[in-house]
Amino acid sequence: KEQVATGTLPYGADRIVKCRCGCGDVCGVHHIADVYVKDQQIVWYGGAKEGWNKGGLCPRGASGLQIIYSPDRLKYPMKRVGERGSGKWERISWEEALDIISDKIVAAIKGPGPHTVAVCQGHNMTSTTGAVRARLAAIYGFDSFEGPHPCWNNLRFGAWATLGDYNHLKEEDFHYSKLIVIWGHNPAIAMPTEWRDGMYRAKQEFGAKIVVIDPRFTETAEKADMYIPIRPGTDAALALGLANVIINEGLYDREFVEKYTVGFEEYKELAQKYPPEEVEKITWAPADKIRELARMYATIKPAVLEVGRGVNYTADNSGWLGPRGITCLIGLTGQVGVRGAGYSVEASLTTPSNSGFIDFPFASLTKGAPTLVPRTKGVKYAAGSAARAIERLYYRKPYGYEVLLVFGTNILAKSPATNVLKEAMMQIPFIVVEDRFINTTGNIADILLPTSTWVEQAILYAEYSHLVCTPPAIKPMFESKPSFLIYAELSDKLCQKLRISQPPETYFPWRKDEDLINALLASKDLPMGGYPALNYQYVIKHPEGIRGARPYNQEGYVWFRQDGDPNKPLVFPTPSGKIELKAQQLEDKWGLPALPVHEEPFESPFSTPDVFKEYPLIGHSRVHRHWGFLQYNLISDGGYASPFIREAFPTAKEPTLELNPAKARELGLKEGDLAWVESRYGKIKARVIFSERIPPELVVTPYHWGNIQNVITPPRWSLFEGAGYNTVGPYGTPSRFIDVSGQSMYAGFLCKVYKA
Amino acid sequence: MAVKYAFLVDSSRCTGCRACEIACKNENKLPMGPRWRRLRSRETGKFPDLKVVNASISCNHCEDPACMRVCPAGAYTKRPDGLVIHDAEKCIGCRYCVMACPYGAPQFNEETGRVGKCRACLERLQQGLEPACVRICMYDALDFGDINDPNSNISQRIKKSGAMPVPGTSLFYIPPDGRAGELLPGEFQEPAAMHWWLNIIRPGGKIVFGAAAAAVAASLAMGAIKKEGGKDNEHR
Repeated sequence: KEQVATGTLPYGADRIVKCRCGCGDVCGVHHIADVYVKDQQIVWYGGAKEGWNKGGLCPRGASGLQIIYSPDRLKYPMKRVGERGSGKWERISWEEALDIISDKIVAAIKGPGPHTVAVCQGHNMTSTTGAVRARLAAIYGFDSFEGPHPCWNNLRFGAWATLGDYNHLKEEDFHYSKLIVIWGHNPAIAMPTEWRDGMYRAKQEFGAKIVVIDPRFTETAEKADMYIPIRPGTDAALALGLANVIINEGLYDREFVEKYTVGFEEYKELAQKYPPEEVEKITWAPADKIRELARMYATIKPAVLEVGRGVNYTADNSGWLGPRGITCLIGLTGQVGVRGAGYSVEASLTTPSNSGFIDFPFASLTKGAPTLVPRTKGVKYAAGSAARAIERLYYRKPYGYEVLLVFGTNILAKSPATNVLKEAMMQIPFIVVEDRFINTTGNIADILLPTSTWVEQAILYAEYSHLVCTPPAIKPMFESKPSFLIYAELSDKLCQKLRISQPPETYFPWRKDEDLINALLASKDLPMGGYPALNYQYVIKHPEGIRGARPYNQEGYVWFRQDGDPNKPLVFPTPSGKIELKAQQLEDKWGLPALPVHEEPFESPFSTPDVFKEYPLIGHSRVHRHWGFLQYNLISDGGYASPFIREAFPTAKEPTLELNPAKARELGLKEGDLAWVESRYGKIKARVIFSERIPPELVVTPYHWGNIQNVITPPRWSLFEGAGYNTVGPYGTPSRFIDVSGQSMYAGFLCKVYKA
Repeated sequence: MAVKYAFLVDSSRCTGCRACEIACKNENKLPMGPRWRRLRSRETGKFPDLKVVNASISCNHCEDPACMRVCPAGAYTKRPDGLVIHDAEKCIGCRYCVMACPYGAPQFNEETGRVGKCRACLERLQQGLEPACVRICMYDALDFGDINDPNSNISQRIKKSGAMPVPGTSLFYIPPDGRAGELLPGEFQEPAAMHWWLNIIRPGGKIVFGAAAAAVAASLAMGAIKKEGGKDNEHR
């Protein structure tokens, strides 16, 4: 389509390859890049018009070429030669690297047991490896975990307790909404296509009203009809305030409550304790706005609650009680069962990393202590496994790991209590890190393995309504390999060294990414799979995406509506089959509150007033726009690999802290000063930025920065020394990790700020 | 009718993501430093009653370009299609144009010792492609095309949205949501409307010269800025 009249391609390219945009499965949208290639060189890189992006890209996507051709890329397998963390490496061959790794693993299997080997993977950078990781662990009896810090389990758990399920509205569903309540989510920036074609289009073309609830005046709030500020961790209280108004003003749907909910009387009694004026004191959300929103939500139909991770990051119970309380409002108003209504969690629910693994029909090849339960089919939230992994990883209880394989995640930058984690990891005798860059975690590895980018391999990508496969544009650069192939070759080595009689292909049949993708497409266990009629060769011809085979992929599918038939009653997969305003199973199974109560974050002006006197600000982290999401493509100085990104965003240049100007002046700080953020757990240094988007009570701390240590690559960016943000968070004790949802916390702790 | 190119900036859609800046730098192989396209974002008010206006600004391809007037080397050309093109070959690096331009469009490149500025991706246009910044925008907040062609995308969009022409330039502007009502056709009938774009796109302190009409607008805008306060925000 980009061919010009003369028949030649622009930029002297000999072909245009439609590749999935750079973020693996991370960003949860079907964005396709046009990769103009001449021989094996990419000569132009931009958005493809066939993708949902329609030719556009986000800034991070736009900097894709800078990641692919970054001089900082990890090019060859490397062996540590100096002290851990000294940054001294020696290039080795793949053969040698896999030999060293497999020897260590076999020694661990034969010694303390296979359970002392752990495979840890984040969002898989290449979309196909999540399932493979779980399979490798199953074959050899390794511990296996994601993250290890899932970022949205509270969001799912709270909704699951109320509704029995959670969902995600497709972009066209928003066009039916007359009211969109965006709660703890910033889609204008975080999900540009859903914003453009879904929510914002609903507002501009179909007259929907948008309300934004967020502690920070977000980019989405700029475009909203109403903005309601909130104190982090008090979402459950705000939900009860809304319920109070809806019930007391008689705006609730009596018939719906009668037919489809349990526990209304007790819920009503609970809500009586939360009149708007009281709620204002707790949440700092103005009472009149609470009333206004309550009336809007009860009367404007259909209305959807679009809820983001923001509500689930605070410590202890407040994290999951937020989404729990929010979903109860659906029971009061009956805003469910028609298009454009319901509860929509921000993330797409069927990305491969959120899935299980390909059926493994064999018994484990090794014998050891029971491993962590890999995520099993049918369980829609990762119950506890992450929390138990944390016990072993952070505290070496009941045993410590002998070998840790870290694939595509920078856990020393993104995990809570990075200082505790680092100490624990230094005790692990052997660590392997696979990544594109030598990041904070790579700095302390024994072996580094280079992985390819999205344009160097075939990619499978599927979310709730789009399924895409893309071919490689160029061959893997340097000696990098796709992640799944590293797993496969490691498995082969292990089979050989463990003297397994069956051929290695019995256990790990895939040597080509294409074959793996076909297996994934056919798998019934994967939420994005189950398409036996499709294959890779067919799907790559459709960069515009294919609608999935699952019912919820289909146009017009309505959640909780049996067979999508508007005449059939609603079905909620809870124990009672109804919306559980009182969820007895929470109390029975886990000793958690059955009613959607509000609990203060464990550290707050109200729960710990003495601490608040000394630490009078609320620390609040945010992901800094597109480029800051998670831990990808960070280089050894802790920052993002693309220089253009670092130039465009002062918050990307170096760790920054954002303060309301009035508050900053009160603290004697000028814009551009270096200041300390200190909590009871640690302190970090950051550059002060003034922002009216932040209430005076908050400080927005850097989130994405790992430990800043210019040890490996000669620093092109001169940064001041500092520790990763997560050392100031309240994550020091195991009780902070909720065993139910496995969620860790990133916001809502107390701190102080002073000039450095 | 002859081709007449213009850019359209839609602040009602722009979220300030800066992909356009990065696409521009990629396309023009710019080093660190110069940013031919820049997001300008202005915040007024206090938390939580804040108003934010984002606009992606580059060269506005003026009718009577100040850069061209002051250039002693004759490096600038005003093309019949409206584009103002700077020829780096002729540039002597004196930077008069950098000082003269009220929009900060020409920028000095330390590496080459010469100035550079937006060329509306001329080579792309010649191949039938849109400028890189327009292509990259996820939000349809930028547009470019022939305003003399009533069927062009940009003409249709101007017609539909009531986008206002920025006097003296080849730029059309749509202000943020809820303020479109302030915008009526006619350039100086609505000073309040004028301030939205000048407020955003004009970097502090400079007075537009060359186009007398725009100077009037600038002084109106200055008054509006003083009254309203606010802050240019580069970070976010």
